[in-house]
Amino acid sequence: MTNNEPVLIVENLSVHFPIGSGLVRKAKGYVKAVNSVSFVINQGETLGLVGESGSGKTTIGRAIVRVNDPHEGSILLDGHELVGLSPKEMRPLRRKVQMVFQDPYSSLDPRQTVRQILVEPLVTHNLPLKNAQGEDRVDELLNLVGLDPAFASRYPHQFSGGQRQRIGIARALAVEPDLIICDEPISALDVSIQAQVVNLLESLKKRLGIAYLFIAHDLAVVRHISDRVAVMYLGGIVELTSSTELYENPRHPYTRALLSAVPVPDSVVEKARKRIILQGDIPSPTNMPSGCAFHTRCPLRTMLGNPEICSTERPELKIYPSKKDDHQVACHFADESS
Amino acid sequence: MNKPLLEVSNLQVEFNSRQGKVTAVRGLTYTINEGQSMALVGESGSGKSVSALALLGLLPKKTAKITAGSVKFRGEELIGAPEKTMRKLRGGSIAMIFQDPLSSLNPVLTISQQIVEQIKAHEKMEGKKAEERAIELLDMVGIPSARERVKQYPHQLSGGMRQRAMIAMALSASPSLLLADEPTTALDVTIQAQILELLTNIQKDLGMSLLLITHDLGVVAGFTEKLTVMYAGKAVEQGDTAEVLGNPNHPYTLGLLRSIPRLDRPRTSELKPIQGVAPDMSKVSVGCAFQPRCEYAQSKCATENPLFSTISKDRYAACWYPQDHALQNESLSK
Repeated sequence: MTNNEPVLIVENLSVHFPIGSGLVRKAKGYVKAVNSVSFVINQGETLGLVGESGSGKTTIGRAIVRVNDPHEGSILLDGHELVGLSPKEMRPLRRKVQMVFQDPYSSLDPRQTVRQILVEPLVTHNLPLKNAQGEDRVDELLNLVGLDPAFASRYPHQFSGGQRQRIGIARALAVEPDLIICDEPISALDVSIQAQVVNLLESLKKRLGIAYLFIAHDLAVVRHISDRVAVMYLGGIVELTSSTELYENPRHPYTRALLSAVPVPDSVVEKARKRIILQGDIPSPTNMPSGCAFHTRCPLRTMLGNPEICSTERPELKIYPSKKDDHQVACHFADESS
Repeated sequence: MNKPLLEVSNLQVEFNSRQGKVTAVRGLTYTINEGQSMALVGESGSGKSVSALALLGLLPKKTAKITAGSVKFRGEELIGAPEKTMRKLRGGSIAMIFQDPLSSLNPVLTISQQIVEQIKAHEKMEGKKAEERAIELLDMVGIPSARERVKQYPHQLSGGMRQRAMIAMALSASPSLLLADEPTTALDVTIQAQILELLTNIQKDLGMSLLLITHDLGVVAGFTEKLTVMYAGKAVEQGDTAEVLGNPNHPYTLGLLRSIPRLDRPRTSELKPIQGVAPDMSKVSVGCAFQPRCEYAQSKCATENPLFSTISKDRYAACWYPQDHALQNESLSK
């Protein structure tokens, strides 16, 4: 399905939140949630965005739909620049990008029926309530996500978590977007239900050719669903490559630690595994470490005898040729680690 | 080491809600030996946390009732034991840590005050001495510059540090059994690895028994010896962790293991989910609770309830048609 027409081009995106600013007071400082992030999502492609809490992955998603205003950078959606648009100018473009949220309990209006929830985006964008074949759009959407159209008159509380997430997905699909931002779409669901929703997202992608930005912290799910994966640490992308390449041949020391930390349900494998345990916590984005953001916890830096460059110069995301796919890594010593 | 420490048999817990009676735990049996670690795995609503609260007599008295079963700790019955006995036990011989360290710590007391309070509840100790002991404990759980940290409030610590502080508090009375209810679920994966490593080391060093409650089969694999899988309030499978994960007998365990994408296996084209949803616990079920979702179910499953019984040596399952699937070979043959 993937062809090389980009749906979304993000360039040099930074999102900073002022601390303690108000009408009168000046900002005391900034939370640098996202720093100079660039990536592309092609049509019908899934880009996975992984990272721990506070890494800025959700902020990127929210900046694309302009919930958060970028500090600088450019976001091109189907060739239209989104940064700097007024809410009115943004409105017609909102049809092209939709969002599916983490919590299927709080992201649906409890006082609307499923029909009302699904009709609202159609009305907002002046879209017909019947499709070309004269079929009711709400019925069509519910069928698409595997729910019985007879459920349309029910309220969200009458559904289970997995079913609610299907309703959230149907709502996103209503306006026929080119890109859906899925922000932790399965992490609130039970394990036995997660696979149902993952399979649904995949089959929709195949049938409708939608692209996904799939934001999640579960590395196994991201590997499964994504064509390419970007790993974030403290507001920046540290590694970006195809899913296969990333998991088979991780190059950034953070990615390696992250992958080694994921426990797998096999005692034999678990006992034989060597875990890279990172020391300490993620530094605060209000007070970013100098140079490479990861240098304070980096096992590779320690192994190399603390080279100075790590704490003085921020590494750029550079392309390293690889056997299978091009591999972008932001590490001064990306060659050492392979 | 093979002396039983905690013996739970046929535990049943019922709640009175506005919707009527909800039987949250419908029969749970397990034994944890001295120094042994066991995981209790299940999805939300399977009754795993409720069963742990029941052990400690922490269920809300107004709405919850233990309707059947027995809980023996070192041979002594805990159900119906006087509150005084339970108070001594809680935080003493049996300590507990919870999922969310921020809401289980008191926000207006320093870490030191909270640990000292716990120490004094179980031991006669001078204030100064107890404070020193608090610092020692924080040191033991790997909190850097413990002498400074001990004076801080919970909000000044990160999530991982808070969980370490909770563990320090739980260890203060040298418990024989630690109940850990989703101790790493709220934490990031790199911090989870730190905490799991810490818990493993402590458990080995102190020879403590551990009951780990989790929904994550990966967490279970690396560091518990025994595994009990719960579904709809019942134990459905039990055995040695490595054996259960490698060769599950119950279709639910098998379904769970097949439905998750795994980093230790090649990438698959499609996941194999368990169809349907978990049953409504306010309804009485006839037959096997998993039967509506089970691909191996036959007519008997809908009418007769399978007993939790021996399948092979030290392996138990509640299923009429236990499976025998070596999962390792399955993936290799693909």
